[in-house]
Amino acid sequence: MWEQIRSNRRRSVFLIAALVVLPLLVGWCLGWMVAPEGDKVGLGLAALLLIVMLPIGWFGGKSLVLSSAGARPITHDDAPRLFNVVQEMTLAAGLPKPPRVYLLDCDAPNAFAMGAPDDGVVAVTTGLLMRLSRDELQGVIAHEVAHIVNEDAEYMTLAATLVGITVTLSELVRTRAEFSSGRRRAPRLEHRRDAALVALAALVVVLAPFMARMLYLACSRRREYLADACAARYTRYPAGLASALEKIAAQAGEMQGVGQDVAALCTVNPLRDEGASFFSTHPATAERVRILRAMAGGAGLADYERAFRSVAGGGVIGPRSLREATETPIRAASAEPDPPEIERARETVDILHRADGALFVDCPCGVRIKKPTGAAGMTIECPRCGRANRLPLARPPEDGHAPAFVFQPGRWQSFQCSCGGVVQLSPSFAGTQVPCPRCGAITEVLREESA
Amino acid sequence: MMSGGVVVLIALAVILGLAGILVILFITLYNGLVGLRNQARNAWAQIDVQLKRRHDLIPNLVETAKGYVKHERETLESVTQARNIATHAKGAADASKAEMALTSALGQFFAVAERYPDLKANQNFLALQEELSSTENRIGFARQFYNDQVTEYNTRIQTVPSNLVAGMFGFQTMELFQIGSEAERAVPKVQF
Repeated sequence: MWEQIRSNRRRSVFLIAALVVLPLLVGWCLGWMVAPEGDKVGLGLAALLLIVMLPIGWFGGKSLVLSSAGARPITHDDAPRLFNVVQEMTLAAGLPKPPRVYLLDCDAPNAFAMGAPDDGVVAVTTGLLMRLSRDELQGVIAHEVAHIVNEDAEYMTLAATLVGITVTLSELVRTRAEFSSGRRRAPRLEHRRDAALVALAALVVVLAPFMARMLYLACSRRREYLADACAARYTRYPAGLASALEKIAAQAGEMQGVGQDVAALCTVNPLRDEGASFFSTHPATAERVRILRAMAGGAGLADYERAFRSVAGGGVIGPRSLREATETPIRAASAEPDPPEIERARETVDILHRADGALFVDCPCGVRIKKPTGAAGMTIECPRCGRANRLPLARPPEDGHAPAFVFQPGRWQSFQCSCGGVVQLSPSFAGTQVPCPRCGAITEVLREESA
Repeated sequence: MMSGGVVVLIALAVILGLAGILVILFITLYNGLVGLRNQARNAWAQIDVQLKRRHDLIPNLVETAKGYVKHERETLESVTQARNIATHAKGAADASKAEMALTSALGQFFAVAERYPDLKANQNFLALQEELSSTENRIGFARQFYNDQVTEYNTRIQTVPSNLVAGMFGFQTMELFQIGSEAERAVPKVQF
C-alpha cells in the first residue's frame, strides 16, 4: 500500500505545483495585457492572492466545509451502528486514529471524507444512513476511510482551493477586459510580435481555468478507483460497495451546500448527473459498479486490477503493490439482518433531532413528541390530545443519593435537571449516571425494570 | 607520477561514493524493516484491545439475559466460563484457542436467545448485541490488517536485497494469526 500512497503523493506534489504556476501565469499575462510594464504587478497580485488563500484552504478548509454543509458531530450513543462501522474500517485500514463522524441533513445518499490520517473526518448524509444496509454502509465508509489513508482528502482540498484561485483570476480578467475595453488604452501594438504575444496571453488567461480543472479531475478520478479498490480490500466484500453505489445512483439528487471542492471527496458526485463526462470529478458510477461486480476471484488489489482491465481497460494500481498483494478471499455477506428501512429512517431522524437539541417527551396518550428547543418554556402541548406535558424532572435526591431519573431504554428521552438544564439520553444509553450539560450535577439513571 | 596520483584520487572518490550509496541504501532498507515490524506490532496490539473489549462486554450481557433465560443457566454459565478462561489465557496459542471457545459459546447463546422474544425486545440486550457483533467484526478486521502487515514484512525479510539486512540484524519472520477454518472466519459469529 505504501507504494500507492507514495505515488499518490508524487502526483499530488506535481498537481499542486502545476496549480500554483497556473494562477501566477495568468496574473503575469493579465498584467502584461493591461500595460507592458504591468507584468510584474500582475504577477505580484497573483502571488499575494495565493499567499492569502492557501493557508485558508489548508487549515480552515475542513471546518469551513463542515459548517457550510451544516454537518453535525455524532457520538457513539447517537448512532451506534454507523459509529461501529467507522471503527471497524479504521481497524481494517490500520488508520492511527478513528475519524470524527458527522451527519448531514440531506435526503440524497452520499458521504465524504476530509483530513489527514491522524485527524480525519467522515461525513454521511441522513439519506445514506436511512437507505443502506450494514454491509453497504461498510463499503461506503471503507471508501471514505481509503480516501483518508491514501491522503486524497488532504491534497484534493488544497487542489480545489488552487483551482478556485485560477478560475477567479481568469474571470476577473475577462470581466475587466469587457468592462474597460471601450476606454482602456490598449498596449501599443507597434510590432506584429506584440500583437501575437497579446493573443497568446489572452489565450493563456482563457485556457488556464480549463487546464487547472482538467489536471484536478484527472487526479481525482484515478483516486476514486483506487479508493474503491481499497474499500474492497478492507471489507473483503466488493458487493457491499457495489450495491451501495447502485442505491446511491438511483437516488441521486443534489446535495445542498456542497461545492465542487467537496464534490471530489464524495462517494458519488453530488453535483451533476452521472456519466463519464470529461469534466466529472468521478468516474461513471455504473462503471465503478461493473468493476466491483466483476471481482469474482477475490477482494485484493490484484483482483480489482484484473476486473478494471476487463471492464475499462488500462490499469490503476502500481506494479509493486500488485506484486506484494496477498491473496484475499471474499467473505460471505453479513448474516445479521438489518432493521427495516422505516425503523432506520426513524432512528436517523431522531439522531438529527438530538443533534439539533430537540426535546423528546412521551405523552400519556401514546404520542411521542419531539420538540425543537428555543420554543418558550418546558411545557409541551400534545398535538393529538392537547394535554400539556411537562418535561420530566429528575427525582430530588433521597438520603445521600444523587437525583434520579427513570429511564426506559430504546428511545431518546429528555429530562430536566434541577438547574433547568436539559439532559438527553440516547436509546442505547448504558451508563448509570449522567452529568447535566449546564451545571454538571450528576443524575443517577435508573432502569425501568430495576426502578 | 602526477597522473598516477590523480588516478588514485579518482578511484578513491569512486569507492567512497559507492560506499556512501551503499550505506544510504542499507539505512533505507533497515528503517523500512523496522517500520514494517512496528506496524505489525501495533496491529497486534489492536487485536488485543478488541479482545479485551469483548471480555468487558460479556458480564453485562449475562446480567441482562439472566432474568429472561431462566431455563438456560448452563448456556450462560458456559459463556461466563469461556470468558474467564479467555481473560486468563497466557501466550498466543492458548489465547487463540480460548477466544475460539468463547466465540462458539457466544454463538450458542445468541442462538438460544432467539427463542426468547422478551429478551430480543429488550433494548439493553439489542444494544449489547450490536456492540458484541461489531466487536467480532473488529477482531476480524484487526486480524486481517495484522496478517496483511505480517505478510508484507515477511516477504520483505525473505527477498533480496532486504534479506541481507534482515539476516545481519536478526529480524525474525512473524507468525500469522490463524483462526479456525476459512468459513468460520468469513461469517461474523453472532447469529440471529
